[in-house]
Amino acid sequence: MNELPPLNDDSKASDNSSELKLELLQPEREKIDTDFLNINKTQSQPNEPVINEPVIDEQWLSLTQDWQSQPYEKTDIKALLKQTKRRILQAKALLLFDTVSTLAIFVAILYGYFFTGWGKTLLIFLGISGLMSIGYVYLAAKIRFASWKVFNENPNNIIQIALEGCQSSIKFIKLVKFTFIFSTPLVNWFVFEMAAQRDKSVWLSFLIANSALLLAYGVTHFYHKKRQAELKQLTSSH
Amino acid sequence: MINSAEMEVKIKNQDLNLDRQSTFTKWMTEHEKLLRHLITGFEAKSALQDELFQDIALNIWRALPSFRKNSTVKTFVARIAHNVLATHVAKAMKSIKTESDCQSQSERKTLDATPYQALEQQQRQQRLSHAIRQLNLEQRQVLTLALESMSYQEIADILCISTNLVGVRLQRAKTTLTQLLEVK
Repeated sequence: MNELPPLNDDSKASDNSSELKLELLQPEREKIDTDFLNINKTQSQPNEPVINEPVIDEQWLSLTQDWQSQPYEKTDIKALLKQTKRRILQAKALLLFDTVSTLAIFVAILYGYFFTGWGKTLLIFLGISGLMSIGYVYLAAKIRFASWKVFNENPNNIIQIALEGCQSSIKFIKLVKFTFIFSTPLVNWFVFEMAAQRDKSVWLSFLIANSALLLAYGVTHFYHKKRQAELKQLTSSH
Repeated sequence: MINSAEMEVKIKNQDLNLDRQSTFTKWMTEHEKLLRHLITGFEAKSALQDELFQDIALNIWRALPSFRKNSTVKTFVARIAHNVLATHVAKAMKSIKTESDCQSQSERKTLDATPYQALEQQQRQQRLSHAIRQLNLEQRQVLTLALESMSYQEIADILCISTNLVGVRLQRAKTTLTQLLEVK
């Protein structure tokens, strides 16, 4: 296998006056190697580095040719368009579903309170669930809208945005974990009351309800760990 | 019953939607090669490369209405791609290129060359991509764009940095790349 030729020939000494002037314009640690730029210095003004020209030299040209001739699999753009539209639709539908579900909880409470004989237990449970759902929809919408407008932003802000997004996600997860402190007694109280009203075994209901809570906590904890790892990665690469 | 004004708005919306679709198709067709190459510099696994390509397409679609003609389409598309790729690199755990990935890439055919030349070029391309992926994010960004024969000004526009900084980063990237390629 042939070795690629080195890109820079450091042994070349440059005594060009234009380069010296260029060096004076740069801070010490931000010097531009004009050999590397391989710009015809006789055609440029001494104080104006030519920066709009593509970076070319023979070795660089070889690399560029290799890079640009990389084979790639042609994409079916029509299928891509279809898939892109489907993904957008899915994201919007999910957000709409969350919003409609939250509204449905409150409609159910009103219906249950005014038109049916739903017990107090169920109404309290639905009420608290509805309030928690509002918080969830608000945060989910906030995160989604933020991510929709991110990608046309200044690239320098992208990592910062990703960092902030990750941090806010961790805060949200902590909030969800914190709500388990309140929701666990609430769910257990609800299960106990409902089982008592219907004269059914309370233990099976407790088992199902607490297993569901435990599963939900496990999923939340998994995402907590995942986001923490992402944050660690972001902080180390930033 | 729909009145004429409503009908007009409906037709206008349909036209805008069709226009967006045709623009998207045109942009993606014209810049597919550029996008694929940029992705290669950031991700080794072909499955993830496809995923990234779809993410970039999704973001181009979303950003399309905000496109103002004060920049070129190429710059606009490349900026979106770099934002997606930078986020991917920052978030992803360092991906380790496996033998199977090398295999899947080497299976791709190189056109217009003898089998020996094609193989040699393929090996050079793989080593180059591998070396680029070992650079840090800033160096990778300028290098992949420079390899696409973009000018300093274009790179600066895409990355929202000064042209002098492009020069500095590119020089450092080339030095590191040289070292990486020499080590192999």
